[in-house]
Amino acid sequence: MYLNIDEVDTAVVNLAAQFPTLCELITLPETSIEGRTCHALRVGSAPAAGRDAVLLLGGVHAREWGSCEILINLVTDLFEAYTQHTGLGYGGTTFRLAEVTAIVDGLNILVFPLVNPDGRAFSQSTAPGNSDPLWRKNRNPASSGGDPAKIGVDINRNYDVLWDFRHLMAPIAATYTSDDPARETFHGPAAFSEPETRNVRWLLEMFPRIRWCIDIHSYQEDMLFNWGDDENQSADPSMNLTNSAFDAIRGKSGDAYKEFIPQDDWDTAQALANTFKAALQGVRGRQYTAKQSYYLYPTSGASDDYVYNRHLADPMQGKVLGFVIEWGKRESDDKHSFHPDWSEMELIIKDVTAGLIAFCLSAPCGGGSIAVTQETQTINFIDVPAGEETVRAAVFSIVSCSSVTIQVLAGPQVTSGPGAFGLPLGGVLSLPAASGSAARQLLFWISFRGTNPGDVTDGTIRIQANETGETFDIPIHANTVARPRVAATLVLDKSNSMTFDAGDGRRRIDVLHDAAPVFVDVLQEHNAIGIVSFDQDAYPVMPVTEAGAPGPFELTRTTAKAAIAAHVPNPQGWTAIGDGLEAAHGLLDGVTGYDSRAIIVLTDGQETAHKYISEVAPGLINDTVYAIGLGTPEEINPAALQALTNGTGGYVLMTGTLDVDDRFTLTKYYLQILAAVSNQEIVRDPTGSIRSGEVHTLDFLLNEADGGADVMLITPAPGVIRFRLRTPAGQLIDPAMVGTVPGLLHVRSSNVAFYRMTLPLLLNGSAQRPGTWQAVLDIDASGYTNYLTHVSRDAAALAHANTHGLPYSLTIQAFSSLRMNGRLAQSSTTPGAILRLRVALTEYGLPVEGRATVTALLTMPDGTKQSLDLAENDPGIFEGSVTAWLTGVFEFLIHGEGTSIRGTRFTREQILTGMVWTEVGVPQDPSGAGHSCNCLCQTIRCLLKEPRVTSVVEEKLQREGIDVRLIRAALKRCCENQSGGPIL
Amino acid sequence: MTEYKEEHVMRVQITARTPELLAALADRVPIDFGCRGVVSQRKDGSVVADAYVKENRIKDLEQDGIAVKTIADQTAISRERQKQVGRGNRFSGELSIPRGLGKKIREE
Repeated sequence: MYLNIDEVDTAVVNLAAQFPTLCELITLPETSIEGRTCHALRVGSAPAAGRDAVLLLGGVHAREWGSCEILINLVTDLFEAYTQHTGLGYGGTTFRLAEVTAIVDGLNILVFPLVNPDGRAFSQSTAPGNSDPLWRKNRNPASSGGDPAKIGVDINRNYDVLWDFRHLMAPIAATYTSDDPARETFHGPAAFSEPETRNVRWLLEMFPRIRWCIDIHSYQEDMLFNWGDDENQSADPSMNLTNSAFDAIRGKSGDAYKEFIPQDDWDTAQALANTFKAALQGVRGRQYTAKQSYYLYPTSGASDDYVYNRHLADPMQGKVLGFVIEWGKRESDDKHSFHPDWSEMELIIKDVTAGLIAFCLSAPCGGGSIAVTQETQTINFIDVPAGEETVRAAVFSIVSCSSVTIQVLAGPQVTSGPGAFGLPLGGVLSLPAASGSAARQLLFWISFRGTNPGDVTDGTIRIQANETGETFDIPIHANTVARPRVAATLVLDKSNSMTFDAGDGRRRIDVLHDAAPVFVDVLQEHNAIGIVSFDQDAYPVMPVTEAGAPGPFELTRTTAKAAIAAHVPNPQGWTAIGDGLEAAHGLLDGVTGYDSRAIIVLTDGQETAHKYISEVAPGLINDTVYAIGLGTPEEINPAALQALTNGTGGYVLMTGTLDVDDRFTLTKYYLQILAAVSNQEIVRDPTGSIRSGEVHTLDFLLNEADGGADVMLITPAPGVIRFRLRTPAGQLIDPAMVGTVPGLLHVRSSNVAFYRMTLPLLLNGSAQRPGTWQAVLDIDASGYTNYLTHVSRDAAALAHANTHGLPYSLTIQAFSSLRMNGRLAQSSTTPGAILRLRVALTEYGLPVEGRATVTALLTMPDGTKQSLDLAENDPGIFEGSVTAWLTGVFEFLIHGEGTSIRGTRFTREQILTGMVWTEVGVPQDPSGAGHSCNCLCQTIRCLLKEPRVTSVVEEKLQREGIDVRLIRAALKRCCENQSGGPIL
Repeated sequence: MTEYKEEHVMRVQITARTPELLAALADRVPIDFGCRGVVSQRKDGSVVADAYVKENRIKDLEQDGIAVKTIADQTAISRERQKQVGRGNRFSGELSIPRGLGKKIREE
């Protein structure tokens, strides 16, 4: 049903109360002639001063009832959709949620739904003799002279534009405007004589950002735009309504006089009217006409021309394009006219609401307005690690469909403290033109590189929005902290199985002895390391101790490496990983002063003794946990390891069965984990072998986001390979230059030699960083002979040396703001499992969007390889998956490659492993009683079985007081129902 | 003040030979052309207008060059529509508001 005047007003007041954050209730300053208070709503989540506005007027002509309903519906629909996070649909015209929010957040809509309440009341009244459903005017009796037929003024002829039509317009203007109070188009005794028009003027004055005004009337199915007094022209600016030379001429069709309107305003008005028409037509096919308001007969004193003329009459006023909607069918035989049957009115409401929403979406484009809002009040670089460069954005919100350019007028400059601020993307940024009015962000990037811990640096930057001329002074604040430090504990398995063959000719313990010391050698200065070993118990081997500068004689490192060398398997040792974990946590628990703590577990077998991982008290381990499984999934219990690392930020790596080509696998794993805990990125990680007389040149990329780099050569004989670096400028770096080049360090140890550089590296007066660097390797002939002699007792190593040369692995890691973080998830651990990779590439914390590719080289358990291209499904997020049908370890070498923000090429690498095994023989939850019993039975079965326990051994045990026969008898009953058959 | 007496308004279609003739007619007889003037011009230059005229003034419209066709008793139609206007105040309850007619489309 139609709304009566009380319902219109109550709806407005209640909407304001119900949605206080989305609108503002406005009480108009003047009551109506009959004393009614008028209300309007300002719809928009932003402050009035921050957004351009559309003014919507309804209920001007009393009999055109549906206009109020259209406006109330518009507001209600916008609020419901905005708060319910939905789009809006009207027949075939729909709007997305983003478009709804663009209007509510990016625009102001001033809705004055009932300008003429007295007239509507009179039109809707059924009082005999005191009502008229076709009443048009207000109810002002001032000019009536007591004649009820002469009451009222046509509000839409009372505005101050060509109001004095008798002098300013041609005689034909009297067709649609009158100075006779008895006529429906009586313009009143003076312009703005009526409180209703003064209320509208007040809104225009109070909200100077009104750019568009739509006065909603009925009927004719038109969308009209300026001018209404005469035909339009854009050629002669002097031919305009303020030029008295054309008084009493304007208004006649087909003569020389036509009203001046700039072509762009005309085009804009036509385009917006067409937008309204198209959206409306999409609802159910009604075809409105979008045209100039003037047609055959002129109007004067009307709202549309008044609002547009304001900026011409007073250049201080903003330009407001004026529109008039004439809703409702125009067919001559139609019975609807001013008062459609409500069922038809509901359809019209949907029609016009759709058109209004489309208009509001397009208006900021069509109107050409530009709103720039500074959203960042201060640029803060908080706790920037020394040497690390990072960026922060000065964010501006732009509401404009035309292109916008923002540029630096001054700075960024340091006002106090050390260091410098930079503009990594330059000092001018532009947003292109857009087809929609939704607010867009423009981010102005400022960079800062951490100086020395404790430093505080302040600065400022002045930025200008060129199109609006606004300037923004933004203070900058930065402080530098020490690079994050980690305290790490190595948890090393010493169960008897560590004596088993690793698969590459070495025992597992030998693999550990080769790999773990590299972790110790490369550990960053001021980081800390501790060591725990475990079999069926745990043994704190070395307390967590801070490491000094890398070097062969540094005490913490020599102590740690000695502890690793002394780490030997226990022939009677079982595997109680839970004990090891608890001991590691115990070592770390009292350690303070570090930014993070990490536990790195290495194990080669299933858990066979208490404490199991699952027996560690929940929540006890609050450190980042990494696990390395040295062996195959069948040999180890990866499920327990995964459970151990999940949610800690760490992950599991599995070696599988090693072969001679995998001799650096464990070292790489340790170094990758070290990179992870040290906030370093792996740039590249190639492996090779070099023979005497060969020169290997290996390229790697460093870029401006890299604040430091480690270039590590891992090889059994670091002293045999001459290891140099070549900068992008072609300058060679060798170990002899250490001490002469600031920030350059070189260390050579038993299994590794590495350069550690702070970037940019100042070499011969020039800064070396972005570009292609090279590691240059060649063999020292005499040293190589010594190496061959050294390995002559190791047949496999000698064979490899004779055939291929000296094996090496070159690992380049960078302390960088350009980061790659890959994770692998499995749908299950059995054949058929889907292994899903998700790799995130970020630079300064922002997605590396559309400028990188990521591939994964998959090595399957049978040694076959497969390349997998990961798809960028979200900005900077690359994903891919494979189905694992084999059992064993699936190793993925993730390779990311692209260009940095500044256009410098980069690479990143990371290894991830997936594990698949068959359910047969997979231990169940070791904490379960049945399983414990089963494991125990199997263990005893194994121990007591020939030939392990021969009669000779049995006799020895008997002498020690251990009666094997009694043990067998006692456990037979317990274990006879367990899997694996009888004990004996 | 004289008592207001309702006279029915008829919706008519006026065809005038020229725009000027229609303007002259409107100057002579109070014609309500609707909101903005529902006037269209034919190829022969004549114009056709929707208009609202009190029933007892229709005869005053008749003259050379003008044709008038009565379409409907608009007052009667509108009086009937008044039955579709809300009674009382449907939103007088605490924070009661109307519901929008647009379909709320939930996006995936």
